[in-house]
Amino acid sequence: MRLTRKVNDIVLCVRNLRTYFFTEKGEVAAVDDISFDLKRGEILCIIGESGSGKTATALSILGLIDKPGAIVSGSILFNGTDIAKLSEGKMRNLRGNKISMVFQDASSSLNPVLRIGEQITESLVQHLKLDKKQTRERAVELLASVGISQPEERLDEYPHQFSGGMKQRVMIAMALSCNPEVLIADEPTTALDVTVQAQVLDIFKELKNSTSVLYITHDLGVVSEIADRIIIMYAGKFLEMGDAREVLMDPKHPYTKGLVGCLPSGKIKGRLVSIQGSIPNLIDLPEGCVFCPRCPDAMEICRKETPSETGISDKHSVRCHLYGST
Amino acid sequence: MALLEVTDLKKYYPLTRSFLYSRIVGEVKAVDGVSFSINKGETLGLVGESGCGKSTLGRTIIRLEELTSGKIQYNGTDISNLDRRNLKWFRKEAQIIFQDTHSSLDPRMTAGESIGEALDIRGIKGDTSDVAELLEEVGLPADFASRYPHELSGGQKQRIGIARALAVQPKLIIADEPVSALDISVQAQVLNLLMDLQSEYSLTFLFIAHDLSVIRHIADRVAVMYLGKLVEQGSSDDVFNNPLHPYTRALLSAIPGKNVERVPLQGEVPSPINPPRGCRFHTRCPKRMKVCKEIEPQVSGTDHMVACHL
Repeated sequence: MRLTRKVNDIVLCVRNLRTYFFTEKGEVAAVDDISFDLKRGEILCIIGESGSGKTATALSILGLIDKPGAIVSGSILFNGTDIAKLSEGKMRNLRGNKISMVFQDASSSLNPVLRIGEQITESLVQHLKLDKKQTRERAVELLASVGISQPEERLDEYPHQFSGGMKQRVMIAMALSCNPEVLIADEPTTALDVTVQAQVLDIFKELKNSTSVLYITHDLGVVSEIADRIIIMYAGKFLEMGDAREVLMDPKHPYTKGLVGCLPSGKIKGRLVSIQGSIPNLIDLPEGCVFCPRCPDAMEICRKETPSETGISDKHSVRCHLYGST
Repeated sequence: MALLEVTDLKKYYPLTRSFLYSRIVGEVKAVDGVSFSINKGETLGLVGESGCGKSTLGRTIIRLEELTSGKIQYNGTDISNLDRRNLKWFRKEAQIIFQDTHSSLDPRMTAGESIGEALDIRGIKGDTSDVAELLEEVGLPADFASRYPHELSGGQKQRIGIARALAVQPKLIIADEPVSALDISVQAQVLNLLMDLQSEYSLTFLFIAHDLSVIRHIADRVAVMYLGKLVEQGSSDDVFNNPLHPYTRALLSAIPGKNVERVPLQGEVPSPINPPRGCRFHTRCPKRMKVCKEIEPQVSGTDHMVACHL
């Protein structure tokens, strides 16, 4: 009894996922051995800088990896079914229905020549098979739920009549239209102003009870505002994972420490803790730990062996030789 | 003494409709009566949301845009009406660093050539040792001189942009969102670099950003801009610890991750073509009064200035 509940608590279970891109210059391990669980009703944040593989992870889950990329190994269990191996047709039934996504750039994600209403109702018609009147009612409801005033009239307007923040709200409304179990949000507020960002983050916070959110961002401020748990990614690998509060208050991995230190805290006008160097080229990754060329605490072993996952507490684990069992 | 003094600066862009002939149908009031000054060696942080006119203000000050009216005084000299030839000396005094590192470098020029070009302007024929010196100044190895922009990362390109700006030995640098396109770990490196250069060459910065925590970190004084006007201005401590204008309060409370009570703001920034009458913020202000809709508030205070009826 207890066991079954535990299984049901996990909506999405990613195990040893590897997504590679086979380019002319060589093989790129965009996602390299990533495992995590997304629990029902939680917000899990994937944090990483550009090129860390966070978007590739999201696209892998949605089955949107195109050539020259491919999921090489690993499994993505959604309610017990491995969706990494589903056919495109079956995936299409899930996408936008049970698993949906919000992209960073709302203005290029909307079709400029279709009215907002038509775009919102598209997935309603596709997945829920509602009739015309019902879809319209649902669309009005959705727009109102993301805080757009006069939704009835707004439905008949075009994307260019909406501001950036409102377009992003429309995108969220579209993603939520079929009551998905998993919502993947890829930097949804990066292009928005702070005051508008605050409004959009509130929508996500209210969602929490009905939908699990996989939230991708590089902004640690946003993370501390909404995340339940976090994963720190770097060059396709996860370096640290755990309860958001615990990881941010007491980061273990030198990279996480650096990221937290990089944030201008607003206290003193002094030098910021910075991480030396820049992100490695994914084609030509360093041997051993991927972070060791930039790591202030690098040891001999770091240049040779890839660190394995070490538990710090039951809610916090890290991949670093500093905390190895040796 | 003030190195830069800006008085009642306005920059309007005409809106034209053309059919057979073009006519002016309105104006975008991008910068609408802005006054402030920056002292030598000081960093003034200019914050505001997108479209508030902060970049236009920066570009107008450095005379990349023609101003509509107002006065810009640099070191006591009025530069607002100088023509191109007479502006040359000012170009060596003041430089700008742009946000988009990629489009601000010529893709067909190596980093060394780009920097050398700036050195030529100073009158030094781009000698390799000078280029190497500048590269070292911004924390890049000398062999980067032979690299093309596409071989550089965002942070490295921004360093080249900074080296170019430094080549003419300026006194005033306008940094227009210099770190907002960079990853956080690199952002910290570039901020450190800018602060180091400032103390080394006693540079004066006008630092434009939308990221309040960056401004808090680097600025001595802060000016908050909303729809073409400055709503609040004061020392960094005053503005951040004791914000007076409701907009500043809302902006500060919207920084994610701070456990402060959020000042809710409704709606979004109105269009600068047809700004609201009275106080421009009254359409979104949680504390608006009757007077706000009719009369535009005047700036009050000397050190900590605010334009609000409250």
